[in-house]
Amino acid sequence: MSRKTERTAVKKKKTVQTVICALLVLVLAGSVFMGMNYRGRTAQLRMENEKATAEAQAALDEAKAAYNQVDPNSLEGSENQLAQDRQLVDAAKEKAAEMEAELGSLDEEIARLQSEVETKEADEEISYYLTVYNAWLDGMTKVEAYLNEDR
Amino acid sequence: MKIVNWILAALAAAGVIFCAVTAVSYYTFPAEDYTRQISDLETETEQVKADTDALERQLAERAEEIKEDLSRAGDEGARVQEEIARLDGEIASRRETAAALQERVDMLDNIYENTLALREEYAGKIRQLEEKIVAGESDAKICYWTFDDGPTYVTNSFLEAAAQYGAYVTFFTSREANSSDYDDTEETERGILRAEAMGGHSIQNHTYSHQYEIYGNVYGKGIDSFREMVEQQDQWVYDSTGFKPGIFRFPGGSAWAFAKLPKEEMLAVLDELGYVWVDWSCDIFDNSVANPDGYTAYNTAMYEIRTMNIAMILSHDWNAATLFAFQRAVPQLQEQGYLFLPLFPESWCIGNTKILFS
Repeated sequence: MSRKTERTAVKKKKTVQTVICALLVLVLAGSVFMGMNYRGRTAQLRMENEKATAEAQAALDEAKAAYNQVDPNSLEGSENQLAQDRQLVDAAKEKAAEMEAELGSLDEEIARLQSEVETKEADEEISYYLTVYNAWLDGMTKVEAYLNEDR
Repeated sequence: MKIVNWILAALAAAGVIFCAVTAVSYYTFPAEDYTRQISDLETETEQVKADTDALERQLAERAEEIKEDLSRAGDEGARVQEEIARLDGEIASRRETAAALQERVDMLDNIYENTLALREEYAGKIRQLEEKIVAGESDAKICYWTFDDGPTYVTNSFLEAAAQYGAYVTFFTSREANSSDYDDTEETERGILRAEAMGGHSIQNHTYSHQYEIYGNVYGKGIDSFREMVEQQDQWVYDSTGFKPGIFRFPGGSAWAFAKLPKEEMLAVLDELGYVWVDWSCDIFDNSVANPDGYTAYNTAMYEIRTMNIAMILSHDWNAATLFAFQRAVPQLQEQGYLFLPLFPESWCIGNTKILFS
């Protein structure tokens, strides 16, 4: 082989190597670029999702905090007051019932006593002495009126 | 060059691998997991919010119910308290009524004892008034209008007149003094005596027989007969009325009686039998032989009494003229301020039956 051919072959070889080199550099740069691009996009994607997740969690925590703030026993005082009031009313009703019963007993007692008074006043001897009593009482009242006057 | 190329090739390969890895990690990024998780969180958040709303709503409803129940309980409580107050008042009133009725029953059960107790109190009050009059501490005047010898057929008319004027009088009674024209059976006379008592009048002792004109029974047969006549009348009045007399009036007056029997013996008998005795301060002479008409008896009464603050009139309830005098004199004397009262043994007049000048 001649030197020209040899030089051409060497030149060709260098060109090929250069091209290969350039291609490799290209591939490297491209892959690095794309790799970084994917990496960035992945990170952003992760960041966005995690942010959304955190926000959702925060919203849940906030909702739970709001739920916990609601005191289911807040009406306990009022319930107790209502129970007390009802107890008082029931006790008062019971007392009223007892009083009604006592009133009934008193009415019976009064009827019995009235009957007894009527029976006694109808008795001849009692009626006689009662008349004497009332007459003397009338006379004594007149005397007392004179005694009490400054005359 | 070869070395550079190999280095470049290695770097390129590494670059490709790096790109492939990052591409894989990008395309295999678990976005669905995140989405699912976020969705779960949002769902749970909505549930929690719903639970919170439900709880708040429940509490608000319950609070409203409690408020209404409290209001209802308050109204009902007020109504029941009003009812209790009403019942309290009624019970108090009923108790008062029952107590008053029981008092009435007790009073009626012991009516006799109560009447005797009242008589004592009444006599005491009269005595107080008499003492005030005697001491000049009262302008009041008292007239003791007494009737001897009854009861008779006229007595009921005197009782009616006395009731008409609100006057109380004294009867010195004698069972056998009047063998009158009327039915003087025991039943009739007992009825008149009881009517005298029911009228609030005083019933006293004038002996059972009053046969003073011969003093055969009362005085003539001695002190024992006198005692018997007093005791018999005492028993007769007590049996008829339930009240024992305590004042004795001598038939014909004490002067007449003391002339017939020893004064000390008669007074001893009276004292033993629990009696005091009395005469009078004013005689209307309706028992005189002349037997005056009603006007004369009336005029005598009005004249005799005019100077007396405490007067005791002697009359007789068997005389219709006396009834006329009584009916006219009583209202006029009441206008002059006289109080017509029954005579009791506690009276100041016992032992002092003299004229009291005003």
